[in-house]
Amino acid sequence: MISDREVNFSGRASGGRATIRALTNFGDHFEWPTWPELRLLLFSNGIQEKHDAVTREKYKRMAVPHSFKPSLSVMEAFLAATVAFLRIFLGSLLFAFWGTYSLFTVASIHSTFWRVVAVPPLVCVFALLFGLLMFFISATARFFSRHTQPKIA
Amino acid sequence: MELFGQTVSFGSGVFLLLALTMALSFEFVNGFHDTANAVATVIYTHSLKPMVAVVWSGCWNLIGVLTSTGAVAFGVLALLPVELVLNVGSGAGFAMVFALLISAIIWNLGTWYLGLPASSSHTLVGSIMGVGLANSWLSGAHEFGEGVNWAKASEVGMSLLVSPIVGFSCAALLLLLCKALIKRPDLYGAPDKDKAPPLWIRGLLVLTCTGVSFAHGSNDGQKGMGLIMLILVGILPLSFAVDLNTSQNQIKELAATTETISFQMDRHSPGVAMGGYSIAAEELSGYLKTTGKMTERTFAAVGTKCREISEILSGKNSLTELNADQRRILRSDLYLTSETLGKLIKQRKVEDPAELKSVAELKKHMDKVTKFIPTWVKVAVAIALGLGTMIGWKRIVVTVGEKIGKEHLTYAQGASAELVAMGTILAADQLGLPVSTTHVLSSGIAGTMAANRSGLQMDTLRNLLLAWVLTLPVCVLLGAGIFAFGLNVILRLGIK
Repeated sequence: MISDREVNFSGRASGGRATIRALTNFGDHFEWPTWPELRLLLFSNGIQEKHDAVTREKYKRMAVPHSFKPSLSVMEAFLAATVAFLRIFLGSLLFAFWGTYSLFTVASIHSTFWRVVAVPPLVCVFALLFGLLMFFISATARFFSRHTQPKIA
Repeated sequence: MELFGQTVSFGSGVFLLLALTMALSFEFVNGFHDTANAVATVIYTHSLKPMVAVVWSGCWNLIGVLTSTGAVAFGVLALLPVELVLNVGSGAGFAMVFALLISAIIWNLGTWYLGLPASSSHTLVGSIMGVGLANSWLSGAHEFGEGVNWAKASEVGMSLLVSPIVGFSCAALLLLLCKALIKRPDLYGAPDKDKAPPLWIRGLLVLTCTGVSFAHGSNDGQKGMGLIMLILVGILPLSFAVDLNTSQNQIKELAATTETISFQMDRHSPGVAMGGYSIAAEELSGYLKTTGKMTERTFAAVGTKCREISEILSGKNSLTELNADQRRILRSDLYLTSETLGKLIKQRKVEDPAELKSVAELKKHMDKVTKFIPTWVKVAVAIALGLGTMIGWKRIVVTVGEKIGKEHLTYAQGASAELVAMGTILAADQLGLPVSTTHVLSSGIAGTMAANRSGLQMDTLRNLLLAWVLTLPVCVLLGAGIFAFGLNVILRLGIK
């Protein structure tokens, strides 16, 4: 049985509302999300996309300071900046702990062969943890963004 | 665990990686804030395809960072309180580094989302001043405001203030000159929507794009480099306190010159006895503060410190022969003495031309040993800035092309503004002063619009001014607040 849990939120993928299928692999069929879906799932803040999807062309979709029409209220901008900062800070913190732990682990292995073998799993662990962290931040941001009213320019 | 030849604990490793990643993130954010300034005109005028322009600009940013001298990096660091720079490995030092990074990143991101074209340079300088003020306020031994190097701050403030004015007027003049000398109507028309410009105009625009990218890399990249060097000196002093690649000849020369200067300084302070090296250090720290006044004791303290340096270096063929403590002391002595000599020269306290020459020479030798940037730091910053560059291009293309003036940007306007921006940033680079790429280029475009009588979009100018006025005070508050909070946490945790 395929068990798809559909998560809907505003996104830029389809210009209006994008549908992300966050797949739970309970059945015999696993479908990898596409890169745009994955990007939304991990890196969206749920704020900018609302405006982008409705009001902006492809060229102007980023939060464009120099086009001077970001369409965000101070509250929304504060939330978006906080989310971006959290990604940077917590991502850096995760990298610092993982990096130091990995360096200590690799340094404690005496054989060069086993050192090389140890690297890919460590990298995979980081990718997984980083993905989870980004997903968690995105989910939290989307939760909060539901309570902010978009001010479409 | 061994890292760069120094044993590092787990905690120090985490601190090091966290601080390095944050510093590189600052450069990344800086990259996407500023880059499109360089590529805007070539993309907008269809001189290059967006992807080609962005990669080209990223590469020249990278080259700019790699070939930079480090003067701006150390110019920015000179704004920091001396006692924190010398004790950057302490709890207060870490609080300072993280306060700088966090406040600069927060303001850059906040203004990005609010649509205010803030300058990364203003942001960093504001945070530094905030940390300095909070430091002088929190440590009862100082007067409020003493923590900021006001002389350097006014120099930097002046460069940040003057550079947009230079950009505005020079770009306007250049356009008028261009109009008088080059009678080619196609140069003064708005770009065709889908057509590339004539080959020579295209070449000119690509050249100016290259120049601005290079200049941006060489100036803005250095801000991150300075912060990274502070972090490295604080956490890995054994490897980064002094340049371990200093040659035997340089060491011998430095030892001999310091000895000579120590005698010269003694002649300026007859009968003044300095009761030890630490008292001399306190004397020099006091002199380097804004309220510090030169007395005979200042000369005596310089002489004492020069003797200490000479003693540490005598008989050494390489700086690797020094132990950890000696390296730390040497760095501290060299930094204090060099900054003091710099201030003495600036205040014209050394009058004899021969002596002035030897003092300036000594300062140069000293700076070579402490003010160095390893290649890997340059490469890391270059990559972070380059990646940021490659991500942020979409934002400014529309602005620079359409939002500053009421009419579309012409080829000549784009080229004039970029040539002036490139020249201004490179000149600032040589003087060791930070300038804002965003403001220099935006004011350059505004200048050409004014000269062309194209009219200016007041909304855009208001936003530019708003960002300009808000950035310094907000960053001062952010830097001070985060530093005070961090220091409080560190003290509560019992970290010295």
